[in-house]
Amino acid sequence: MNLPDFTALLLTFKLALITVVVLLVLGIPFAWVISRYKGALKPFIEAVIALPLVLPPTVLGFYLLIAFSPNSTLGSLWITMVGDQFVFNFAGILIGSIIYSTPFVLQPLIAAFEQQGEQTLQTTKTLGIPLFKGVLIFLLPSIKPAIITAATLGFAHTLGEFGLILMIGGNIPGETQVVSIALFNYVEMLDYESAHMLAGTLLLISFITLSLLYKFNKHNFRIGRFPVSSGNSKTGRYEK
Amino acid sequence: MGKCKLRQFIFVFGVIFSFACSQAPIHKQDSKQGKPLTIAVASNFYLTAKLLLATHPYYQNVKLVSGSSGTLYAQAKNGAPFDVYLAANSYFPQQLYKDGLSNKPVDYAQGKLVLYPVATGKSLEEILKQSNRIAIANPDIAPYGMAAKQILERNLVDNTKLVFANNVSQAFQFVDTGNVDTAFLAQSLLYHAHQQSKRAQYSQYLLLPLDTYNPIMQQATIMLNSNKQALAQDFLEYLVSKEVQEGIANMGYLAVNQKLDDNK
Repeated sequence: MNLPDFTALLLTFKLALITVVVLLVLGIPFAWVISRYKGALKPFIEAVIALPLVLPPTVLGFYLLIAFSPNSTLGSLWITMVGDQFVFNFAGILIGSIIYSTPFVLQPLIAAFEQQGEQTLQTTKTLGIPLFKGVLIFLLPSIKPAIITAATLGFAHTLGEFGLILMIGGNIPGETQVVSIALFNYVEMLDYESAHMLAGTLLLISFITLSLLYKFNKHNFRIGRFPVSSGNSKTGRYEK
Repeated sequence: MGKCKLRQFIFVFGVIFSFACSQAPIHKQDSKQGKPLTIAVASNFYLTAKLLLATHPYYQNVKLVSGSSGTLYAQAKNGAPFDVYLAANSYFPQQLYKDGLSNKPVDYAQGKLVLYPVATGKSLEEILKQSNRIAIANPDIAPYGMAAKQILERNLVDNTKLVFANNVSQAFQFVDTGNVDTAFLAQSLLYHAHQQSKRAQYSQYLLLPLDTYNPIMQQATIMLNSNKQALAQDFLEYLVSKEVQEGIANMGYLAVNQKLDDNK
């Protein structure tokens, strides 16, 4: 493993970690609100959350490229706010990753809140515990497995992110050149040996990280078994 | 209640699905000369190849597979059913030849590097100095990127200005969407952009002198595992014929028999 590979690995994990933290901090309150909301717009909101699953990442990246072009309103606003261009730097790929991983983090959270929220809150209400305290002390710990599942899915999904970063990254080492891009370059350069090395390292580290997460999350809903939000809302309270 | 909803859902889905199916176009599969050739073509030459084939009655059924030269090489090496491989450089076809998988490669076009956009009268040095962000194709994997790098190094351009695109098409996207000021592109790409949109801006570029970078020689080769050797050979002869070479000289390439100083 040479230095550029190490830089790319470090950058990838940094990106995945920040993405997950941001998504959890914003996602938990948002998922709570969505799970409580029973209005007519609910199916549409859930559809919007699921949309990043539909759009191919390169297409998503292409639209970000257009939307945040310095010539556009959004792009110039971004430059005034952040001081730098949206694309070709870390902040850009971070926003991209957040959009890209949103469904993976939000869906398990919404599902868990819908399953456990009502009951837990009824209990705390009977005990005379204020709502805020009830959520913080009883509800959040009770959905811990879902939070860990959400974090794991978001993290793993960001590690493997490729098309989006290919579109808006600009392949800058240490800034936007993540492992998947570095891997792709090796393959294109016919340097299969380095590609195998890097892919192997990524797989090994990811395997260890995920195993540890699952080990410490005994009552988890495993990947592939978490309730999909649309299905859940159909059978849930929302139809009453 | 749930069952009823499910039936409704299946019904609606079924209606949409059958509607979508009925709208799908029906492809005509007829080919007058038996099975058509499959040609793997580097993405920078894809549109040119398509134009060339469309005007030729004999080759209208040819299947074009487009991708980066490296990807296509990897596919060809692992048994993809290509008859002919048109690369964007000479390295990959030579590699296939060395691997014992293809015939001896031949030159079929020479790429021309341009700087875009450049207002008339501006020089290369001025533009490079004024630009904050310059996009080039990744020099490690794309021949036009390698050529651009040679020019940038000679002009001592600050590396932090550079953005690396996956290929010239992506470098074009970066500059066309306004995310970079300047890009090193293939002239053929701007030719096609201009043909398709008729926007005058696509002809505002600076053609870089051919002696300032190593020639971008695009080579073609016939795969040995092809069972249409004769047909493939005919196609290759057509590709390097005077007629075709004159045609591609108008589409942003240099005909392969042209000399260095003929560059216009």
